[in-house]
Amino acid sequence: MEGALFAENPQPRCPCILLLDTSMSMSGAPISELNRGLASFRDELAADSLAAKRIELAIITFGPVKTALDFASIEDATIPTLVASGDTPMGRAILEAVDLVEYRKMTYKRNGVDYYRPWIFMITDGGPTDAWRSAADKVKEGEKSKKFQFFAVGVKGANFDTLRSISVREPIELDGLRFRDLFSWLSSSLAAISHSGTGDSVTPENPLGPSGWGVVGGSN
Amino acid sequence: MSSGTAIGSSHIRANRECEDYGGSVACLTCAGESALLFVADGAGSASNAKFGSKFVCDSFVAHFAVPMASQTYKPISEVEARLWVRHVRDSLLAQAEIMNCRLEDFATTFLGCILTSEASLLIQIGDGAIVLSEMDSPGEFNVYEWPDQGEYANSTTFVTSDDALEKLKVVNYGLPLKHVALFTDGLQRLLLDYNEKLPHQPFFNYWFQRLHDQRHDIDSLSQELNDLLTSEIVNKKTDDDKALVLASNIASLESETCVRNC
Repeated sequence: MEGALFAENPQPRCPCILLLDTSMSMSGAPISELNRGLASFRDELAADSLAAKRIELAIITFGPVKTALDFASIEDATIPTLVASGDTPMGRAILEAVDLVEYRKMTYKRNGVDYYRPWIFMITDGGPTDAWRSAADKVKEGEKSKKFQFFAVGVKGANFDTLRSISVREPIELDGLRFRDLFSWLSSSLAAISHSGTGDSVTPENPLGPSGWGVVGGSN
Repeated sequence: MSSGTAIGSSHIRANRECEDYGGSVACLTCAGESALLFVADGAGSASNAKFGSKFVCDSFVAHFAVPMASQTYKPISEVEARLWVRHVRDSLLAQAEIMNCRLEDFATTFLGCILTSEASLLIQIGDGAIVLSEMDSPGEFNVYEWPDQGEYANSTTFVTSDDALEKLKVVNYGLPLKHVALFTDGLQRLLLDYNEKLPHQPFFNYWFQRLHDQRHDIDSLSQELNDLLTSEIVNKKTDDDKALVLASNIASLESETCVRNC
């Protein structure tokens, strides 16, 4: 009886773009672990009914730059199987992600949908093979004006000096190929945000902790 | 009056206490019956939010209940309401020093109403909403101020925010209100129609009718409201904390009141 008494409004959305390096150097174990991690990421979030409605995922791959998944709720998203090929056009991929986030926000606004601050989450095992300075500027400007949060994770072999020039947050080095743990962390961090109410600024658990997936360092 | 507060299911999972606070106080003025209604939503990320939301509500009651009950009572003005917000911020600052914490650790929204037979004063800082009707007839509910929200779904203004006094909304309706409902942000997506920017009329028509019918047994109505706020239907749509206060016909002899907290 009471169900009909309530308004039906769209759920607030929690957008996240995964910016994934699928260049040739990722072939073999890295890309297959990445694919496994992605699948478990989707499964974990699908098990949380509210998060599955609120979290919207997009995937941009680079090597070459491609929107492998345009924004879709976890309920509706079909996770692609990624294949490694080409070089690492990270700069263009970042610009693409920033544009996609802004475009998504416009769609939310047009439809009267509330949203949380978007995440852009990049994983790479190399360094940009294209021009990346303007992408770095966009990231800095977006962070400063709180347009989005940008995270960079480097798999072994990544160019951490460049990642530091791009990301305002300290880039994290993935411990070995622990993509599963990384995505498990990502799903619980996003779920916490998607459940948050007024004034809940959610701080993700530190991935550099003893049971975390990251390691300090990444100097090269 | 009737009210309920319920702990949200995500907060149960996180093993936190309910940070919303709400209630009502009825008092007799020389001009007849009057009431103070209030709800506050403590920010989830603030360490002493539960304390903050209760502190602000207690201050509201302490500040206005006594003058209202005095022989020399005059209707409370918008200026006095603004002065109270300054006062409660100062008190919180002093409290922060005592408790060795920061002002923002008490972050909370606040919605309050002072209802008398002559006037209705409404105060709002932050999100949540006050829904009201001047009419007896159903289907005439309006929102005082659309929930104050920043760009993102989990951002708003708090009593403790630097810009609280700028964002504060105060109005003195020069007339009594028939029906008033106050609720925190955990309920706003269920009780407001975001498309029309209006209250969701069926909910308010139903519950104000129930409030009228049940005016001699408010306790059981409060229990019913409480059961509703903690029900599966509600928790599927929102797992945030929530507080709701309903009041009708304050100035008449058959004013209706009840309170429940988590």
